[in-house]
Amino acid sequence: MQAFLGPNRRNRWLSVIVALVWIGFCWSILSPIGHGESGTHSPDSDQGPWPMAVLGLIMVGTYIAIAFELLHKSLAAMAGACLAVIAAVIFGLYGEEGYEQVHTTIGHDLGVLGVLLGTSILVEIAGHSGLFHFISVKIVKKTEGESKRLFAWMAILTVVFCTFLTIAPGTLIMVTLALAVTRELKLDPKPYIIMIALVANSGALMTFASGICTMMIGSKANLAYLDFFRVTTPIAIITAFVAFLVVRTVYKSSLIDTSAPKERREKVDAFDEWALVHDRRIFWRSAVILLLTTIGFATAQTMHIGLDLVAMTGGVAALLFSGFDTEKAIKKVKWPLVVFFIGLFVIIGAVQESGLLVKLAGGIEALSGGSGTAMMLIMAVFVLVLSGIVDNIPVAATLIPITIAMGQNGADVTPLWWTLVICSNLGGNSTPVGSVSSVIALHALEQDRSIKIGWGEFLKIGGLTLFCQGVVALTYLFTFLKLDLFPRG
Amino acid sequence: MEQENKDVEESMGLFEAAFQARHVELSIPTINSIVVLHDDSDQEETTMNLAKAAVRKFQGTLKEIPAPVLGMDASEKVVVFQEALPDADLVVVPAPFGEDLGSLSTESLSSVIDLFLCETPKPLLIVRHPLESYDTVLSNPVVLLDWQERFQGIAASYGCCFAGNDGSLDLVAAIAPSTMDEITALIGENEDDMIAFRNLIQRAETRLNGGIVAAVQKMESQNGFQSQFSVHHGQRPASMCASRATEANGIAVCAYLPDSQSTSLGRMRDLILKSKQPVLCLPI
Repeated sequence: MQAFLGPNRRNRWLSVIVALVWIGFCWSILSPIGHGESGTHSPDSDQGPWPMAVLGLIMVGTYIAIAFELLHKSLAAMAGACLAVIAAVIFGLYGEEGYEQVHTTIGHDLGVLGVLLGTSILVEIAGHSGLFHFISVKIVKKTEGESKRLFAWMAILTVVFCTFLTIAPGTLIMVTLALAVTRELKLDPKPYIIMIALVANSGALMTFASGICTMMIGSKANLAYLDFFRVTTPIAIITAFVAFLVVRTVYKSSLIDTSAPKERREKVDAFDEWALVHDRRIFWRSAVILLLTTIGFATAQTMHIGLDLVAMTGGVAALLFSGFDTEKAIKKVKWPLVVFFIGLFVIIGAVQESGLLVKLAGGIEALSGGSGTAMMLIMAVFVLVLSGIVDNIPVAATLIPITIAMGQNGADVTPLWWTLVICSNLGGNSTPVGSVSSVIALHALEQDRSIKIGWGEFLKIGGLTLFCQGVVALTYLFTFLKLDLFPRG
Repeated sequence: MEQENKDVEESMGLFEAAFQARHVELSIPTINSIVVLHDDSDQEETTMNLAKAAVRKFQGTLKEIPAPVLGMDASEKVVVFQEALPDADLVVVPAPFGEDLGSLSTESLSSVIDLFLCETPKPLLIVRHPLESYDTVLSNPVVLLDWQERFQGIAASYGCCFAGNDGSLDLVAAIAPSTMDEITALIGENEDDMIAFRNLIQRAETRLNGGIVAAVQKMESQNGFQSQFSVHHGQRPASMCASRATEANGIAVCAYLPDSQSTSLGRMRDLILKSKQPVLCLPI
């Protein structure tokens, strides 16, 4: 709250702008529908203007509080959830089931929470096993410390680590590697850190389990794990390359070697990757469990089991066989994120009951004139813009029920699900607070080197990257749509 | 952000350990001649069994030194023993060596053990408490690491030697609470600053021990034992090592400078007093 009440005028103005953008968006897509549909009281349908207005306001207020850090995002989500439930009870939105529906809503999302919990434990153990640190030092040695090769390999490692460890732990390892190696080789850390922050979001697109948004959308839309290799893996590689090229071009003058090749090679050769392995049992067992879990994710659908079961089994196996301290591993689960999710799901559930999301779904359809291409464009632009301002998780969480509603209205939503997956991950690249990778990377740079990258500097490079990636992603999505390449069924 | 800061420091410490690792050469000592000192105390059986287990483990020879005659003072006893030790590779000693310290037994070693620590240039395996198993204990060394390289190398070399082919070596770096007290005195009791300093010290410990961890890992590849390294804070290093040795059902290993003024000797005494398991004392 301090930020809002204090002298930080930028936050207040930005809050007002976001609120106006949101209201404008809602107005523009709600107005074509007119008033003819109001008055019905079945779930997911129009409950009249007041419930929609009040719950819409609570949702937007929560997003503003999250976007501008007026409150901690978990607290904002829980506060929003309390207000939303109270409002829904007052307006009698929960129908016959009554208050119990709140628990039913949370129950519907237990799958996502299970995946989150299981993968959190597993990647915590795998991340601390030294395995990924070991691999990265081995690769750094292969580059012989040559700055351009180092830069390219770091981009590749970022994508690979984010693919297997998810975005936050993957970014953490790569950012600390960049800070440590640039100090040793006396290189400018800035281009490396910015590149990692931007490329990591492409890494989160690689597979179903690479990013939280990806997991959330994939679970709710029942997207098959193997379909991600067909649709998102190629665009993840392409957009990562785009980000790499943009940063390399902008920071060309900073990517120069400061020492002689012989001196560099000697320094790099002296790096000892075995210093990173604190316990070989954890090292090898976590590698095997991570591999088996990935295979489990890929085959879950054919085995008719949920991905949450695979993730939880992986997490439990890691706890049982790695020798890692159980209490420490469970403590490291991102509990604030779990709380954030629960709050968010409750808010979305209440807003859904007001009929606002159905209205918004109808509005998007009306605005697009029923054209699949237009629907995809609207969703892509909206998600790309808003994900950079608000956290991409609430944006995806809001658009999931809207997309489901559009599907229930008869629209072809398969392209929209993939649009949502791709754009919600890439959208975070535009601002320093848009994605978890940027937050971790910039914070670590400031903490370790006292180098601060301001909004202005990040907006220039992040905005340019997002623009290029957006053009590429839209072209890719439209190609898939026109050639009917999206996997169905 | 507190957790994120900790994670960043931890990961940075790991990379720095690899990038700034000092080259440490471990040389596994040969233990052939095992000498056991008798004191006619209740510890006789335990000491003898442990010495025999060491003979089995290292396929060495056992030499027994009988208990000293009554009426000798501590320094006389030590002189007698020293004369019998020139070829010893490992000396198994019961503690408190026949003295009845009564209520002081938790705070003081016997005068013979005190003199031994200062004057015997041989590795001492000191036994203070009865044991349930002997062969297993010797294969699970818990090494207390010191920031000084010469201490680390010797302690880790003996750790590898005891871990052998199928044992488990636990390397423990512990941050003394006194270090944190000194920092508190310097910077005040601001909780955020303290957390930041604790993270930085943990990072420094990881970095400083990079060389020894790498050397032990390479030794593990050759010999086949299992090793693990961890950094701890909140407990005195000696207490930490002692409790890890109890958990591992192993021996505590620590190197020290046999100078009555050295802090490492004080820590060595502390470890012997705290440990329920045998302690391998390595004078430098």
